[in-house]
Amino acid sequence: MMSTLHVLKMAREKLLFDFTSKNHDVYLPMFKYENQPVLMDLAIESFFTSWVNCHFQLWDENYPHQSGKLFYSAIKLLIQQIANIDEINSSNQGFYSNLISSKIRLLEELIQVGVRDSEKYNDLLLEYEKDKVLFEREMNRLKEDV
Amino acid sequence: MGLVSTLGKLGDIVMKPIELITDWGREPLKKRDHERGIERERARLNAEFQNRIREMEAESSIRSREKELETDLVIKKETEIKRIFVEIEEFKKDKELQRMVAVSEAIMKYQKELTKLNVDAINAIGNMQLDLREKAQKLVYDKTIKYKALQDQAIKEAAEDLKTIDNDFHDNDVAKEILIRAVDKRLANIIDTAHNFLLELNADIKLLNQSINILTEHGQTFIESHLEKFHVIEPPVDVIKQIEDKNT
Repeated sequence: MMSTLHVLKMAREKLLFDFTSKNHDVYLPMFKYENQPVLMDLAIESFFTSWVNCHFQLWDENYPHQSGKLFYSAIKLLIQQIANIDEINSSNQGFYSNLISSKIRLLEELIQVGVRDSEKYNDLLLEYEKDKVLFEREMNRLKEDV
Repeated sequence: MGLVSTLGKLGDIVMKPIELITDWGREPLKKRDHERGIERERARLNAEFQNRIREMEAESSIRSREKELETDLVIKKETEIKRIFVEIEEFKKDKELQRMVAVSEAIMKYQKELTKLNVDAINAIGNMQLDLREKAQKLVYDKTIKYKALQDQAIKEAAEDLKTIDNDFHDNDVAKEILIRAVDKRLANIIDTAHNFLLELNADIKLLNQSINILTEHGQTFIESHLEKFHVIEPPVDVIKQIEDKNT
């Protein structure tokens, strides 16, 4: 039981440290995707998923030879927030941890797709505004000519 | 000395005939006595002989009995050894069978767990794929709405610009034509570019979906690795047959 509480405590400390130390991964998306709620949601999900997945790493580093029955019961509640996994234990932990890592990677890829498209959208917006200004100038010039 | 010797000799001369007569008279008694002795001796010898025969018979009987017993013992011993060997073999077979039954039960239990694990893994992967595709779709939808809004705004502004041109340049066809062409170009640019960007976005999402599909391959690798472990501990076919025979 102590080992489970210890790992959960370490994970909470890591979460707090990321905020108190102004971690780039936490703060940058908050400003970068301020006006893009879909990307903001993806960034939050990616961060939270990474945090949940770090529990496995902390467990393996600190208690590699324990069965961790209680730990897996506790972690299951967190896992179910990010993936539909019925049962997790020491034998399938590696697989699910890899699966969750894949999900994080795919979320990051999706965010990058969104970011690339936002840049294109902004370019298009700029082009459009520029065209409008040039049109106004042209119209004003022709009015003056008349 | 001489006198004594002479008297002794005289005594012998006198006594000898008397002794002779006495001996002659006693002769029948002696003879009978001798005959009785012989009889006694014969009877004793006969008894001894009889005893000896009986002893020999008894000894022979005992040796015969001993032999019989020895033979019985050897037979019993061999029979017992054979029986023990048979029992040991049976015991070994039973033990082997028990072990195989235990292995079989363990395999069946492992198979059930593996099936559950595979089903869980497939479900988890399937749900994760759905979730990610839904998120990708939501992103595309969100972007499409933005582009559509931009296109609508461009059309609306183009319409207003055309009205302005029509009002302000109704007597100047050249200027009117130049401005209308500019509005057309601007509108076409925004509509075409937005359309192309949406196509590019869809292409990116298509690529992402391929990456999402690869998750299934991860699951297959996971299942195959578990199946390989299962095959390693799978017992030979003849053992399975033994277990099946035992169960039936």
